[in-house]
Amino acid sequence: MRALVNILKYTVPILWILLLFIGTRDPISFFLSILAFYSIYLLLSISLNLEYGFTGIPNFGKVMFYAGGAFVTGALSSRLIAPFIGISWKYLEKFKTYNVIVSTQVSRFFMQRPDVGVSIFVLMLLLGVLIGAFLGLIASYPAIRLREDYLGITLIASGELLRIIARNYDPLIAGTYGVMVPDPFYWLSGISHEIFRVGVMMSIAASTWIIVELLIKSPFGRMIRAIRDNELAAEALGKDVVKVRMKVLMIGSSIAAIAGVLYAFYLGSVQPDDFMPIKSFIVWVMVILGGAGNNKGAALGALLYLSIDRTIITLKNYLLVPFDVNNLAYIIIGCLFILVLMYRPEGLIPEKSGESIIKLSPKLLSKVKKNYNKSL
Amino acid sequence: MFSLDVILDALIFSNMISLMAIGLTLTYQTLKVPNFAHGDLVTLGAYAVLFLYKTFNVNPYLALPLAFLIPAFFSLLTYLLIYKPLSDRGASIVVLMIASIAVEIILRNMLHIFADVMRNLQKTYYRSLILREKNILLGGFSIPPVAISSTLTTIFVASIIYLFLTKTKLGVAMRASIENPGLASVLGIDVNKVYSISWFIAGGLAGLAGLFLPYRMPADPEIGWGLLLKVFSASILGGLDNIFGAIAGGYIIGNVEYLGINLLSRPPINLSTSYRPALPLIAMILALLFVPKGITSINMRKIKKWLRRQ
Amino acid sequence: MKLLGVEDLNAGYGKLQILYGITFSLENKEILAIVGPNGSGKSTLLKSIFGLTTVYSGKVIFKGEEITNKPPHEKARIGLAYLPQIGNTFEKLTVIENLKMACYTLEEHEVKERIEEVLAIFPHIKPYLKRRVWSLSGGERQMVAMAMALTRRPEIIMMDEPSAALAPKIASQIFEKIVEIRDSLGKGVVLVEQNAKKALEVCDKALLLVAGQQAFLGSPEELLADPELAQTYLGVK
Repeated sequence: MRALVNILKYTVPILWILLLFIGTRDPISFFLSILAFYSIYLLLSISLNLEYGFTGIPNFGKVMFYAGGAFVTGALSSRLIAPFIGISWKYLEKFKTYNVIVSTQVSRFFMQRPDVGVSIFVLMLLLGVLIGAFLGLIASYPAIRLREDYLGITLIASGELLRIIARNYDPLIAGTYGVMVPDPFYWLSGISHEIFRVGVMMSIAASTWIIVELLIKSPFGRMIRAIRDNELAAEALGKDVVKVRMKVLMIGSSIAAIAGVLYAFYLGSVQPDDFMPIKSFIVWVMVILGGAGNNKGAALGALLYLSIDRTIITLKNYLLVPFDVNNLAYIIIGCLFILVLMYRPEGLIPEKSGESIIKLSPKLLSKVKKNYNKSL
Repeated sequence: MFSLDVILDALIFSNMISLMAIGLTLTYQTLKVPNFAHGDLVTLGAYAVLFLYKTFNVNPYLALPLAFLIPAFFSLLTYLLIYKPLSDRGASIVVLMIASIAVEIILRNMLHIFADVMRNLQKTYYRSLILREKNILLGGFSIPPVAISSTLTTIFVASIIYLFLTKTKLGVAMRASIENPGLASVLGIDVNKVYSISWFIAGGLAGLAGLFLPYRMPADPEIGWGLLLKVFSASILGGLDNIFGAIAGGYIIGNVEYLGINLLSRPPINLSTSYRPALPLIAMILALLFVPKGITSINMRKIKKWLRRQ
Repeated sequence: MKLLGVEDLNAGYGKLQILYGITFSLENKEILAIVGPNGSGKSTLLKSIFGLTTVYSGKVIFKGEEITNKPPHEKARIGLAYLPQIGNTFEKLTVIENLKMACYTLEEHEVKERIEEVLAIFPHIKPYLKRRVWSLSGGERQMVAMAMALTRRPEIIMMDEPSAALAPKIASQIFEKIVEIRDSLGKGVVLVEQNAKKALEVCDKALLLVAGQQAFLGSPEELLADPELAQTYLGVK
């Protein structure tokens, strides 16, 4: 029975997505877009799982770090190259008006100089990591001093603050209009373009997954779980809880920022209103649904959410209701989430409780118990 | 210093935030969880009123009972069906928080669907909906009636709550249950009943704020979430353990936002007014860093101690 | 008739079992002392009778009626009172408000009477009626707590270490009051005490709890006479 459930856990979402293929006109593009979004969701899910699932830091403001990576990409990717291809400062100052033209020129430039395109891509990733780590460092200040409820509110508020600034401070990403992001892989075209860039995204996501898995299995991983389960004991053993939490937040935020960079490049544009607080909640849905405290859960949660998300987008075309299907989708996700919280809070893949060093067989265990009771 | 318009804006807004903050602080005290759905209860109240107004031409002020009751029942339901069971099961604050975020999302999207359905089927618009009323002359000034009604309501609510909590058996029992639910139940108080009443009242108060809302800002399903963070700021600033702190906090936030942006948008700072929503957020972050227990936790003893240390 | 009967009670906190098969009974005008080493489950036993813990199996019978699964506030209504060791007053409320809360289950006309009654037993707290409890001293707070337990005229009062953290003189006063409660008010008292010697002096029946199990139930003289038990678990010679 359990084996059946285990198999179903993985196959159902995959079958579900396969079903969606029926509705599409271009299955290959559809498949590639699914992989692209999966890599982004996977990164976000891993990031929150690392912070909350393994270390117990409830990061309610995930979207802020995600936005950090995206905003950096939006703000800098075309601006950094533009001077080298002879675009004057006039066009860079009035970013709001001219960013589309500038980005298009930059993309065309990449067609001739793929090496520059790839370098910009890598550079943005590195910057994203830095920005993410920086934001994580700032966020760790309240994270350590505040109780979970205050922390949650603070992180959401900070995320909103960032979004308000992005909306109003035009030089950043052209305010509410948003900016266009140049395509670093413009030197490829057609299906090879898609395959290549989705391949890159998936590799980044997969390697991050592997790295975090390794991190979890290392002494550092054991330490963060120790801190999560019993902070006092961990401190008594000499672990610097504050520093560890800081490190975890920085790593988690960097991962989220990488997701933001990938998102910005994939979509080709960055808009502040794309980073509303509800996105933070969605990452929570992924982590809780899949199962907090283990990376497989994160992977499954991202897959499940992806299935739901793509279904809604497909259904939009078929469902004739006098309202936006998105709203109904969120209501269903919300209800599902509450049901999971109430009846299966450990998620679909629960964390294995403590790999004990010595495993006692039931017979041995009862013998020990008997002897203990006798001595009383 | 400030024009009458700005002062009235700040006043009405402060009233609204105070009414909401009282409810938020109240429910927080029962389960120690900030109710993220609280903002949308305001929108729910507003839409209840607007529905009666648009469909049956009922004067919004007459719809006051409905503005109170509908969000009150919704709030009570969420407590009984979701928060209480989770809390009884020993759910952590984090779990309760994300549950309330889920409730918020459900409620907000339901309101979106309502607005869309009404637009498509009944051709009535519930987005960017503003109610207009004629100003009345008071002491030589032209004042919108909502300034008076909201202020009177807030004063009335504050007084009733004070009397309730100090002079009635149920009110004292509520204070007792909030402080020590174990002891309260051991003395014979049905803590669950008391908490249910708290959640009912809190929802109702939010709905009352919703009554005044369409007179000042365009009613929209998203507006509740926008107000929520400000209400959090007000409650935190006032001190989450003090219901009257919520009123103080509401007034501080209301004034910080409207009077503050008015000041900052003048020379030499010339800050754009579109940064207005950022002010309450900054106030809250500062409050959390410097007076995390709220301003009501500042008392003369602490100030004297601090001064002596200097 | 047996006032209180506990039969084979197994209880704990969530999945952690603390009590194993506790059985005893209490009559009217009887003081039962529950003694034992730290962590043996004495407080848990009182909480379990009142329904504040997870009860796995067993029965709690009050005046012939089984009340094991009744919610705590119901148990309060039918005549049980529980005085916890800590958190036994509402510190943010005034003394008079505390007493009024203790009278929550009574009719309006009875409240005034009962409060006057209990203030006669604890005249020391009369001048503090309008003061908030956090501003009182430890001994005064404990008196308020005991007054709260008595004011409802419960049939049974269960007290958890009422003299703990109090100056010896005040502790003696507390013990005197406890005897007074049994004698003049005719109640049943279940007393959990760390100070075994004092408790055994005043009680009629003693229950020794060790590691959640019942090690002895009988008269205090018998318990004191048994050197192994008295010495090992109570530190009494």
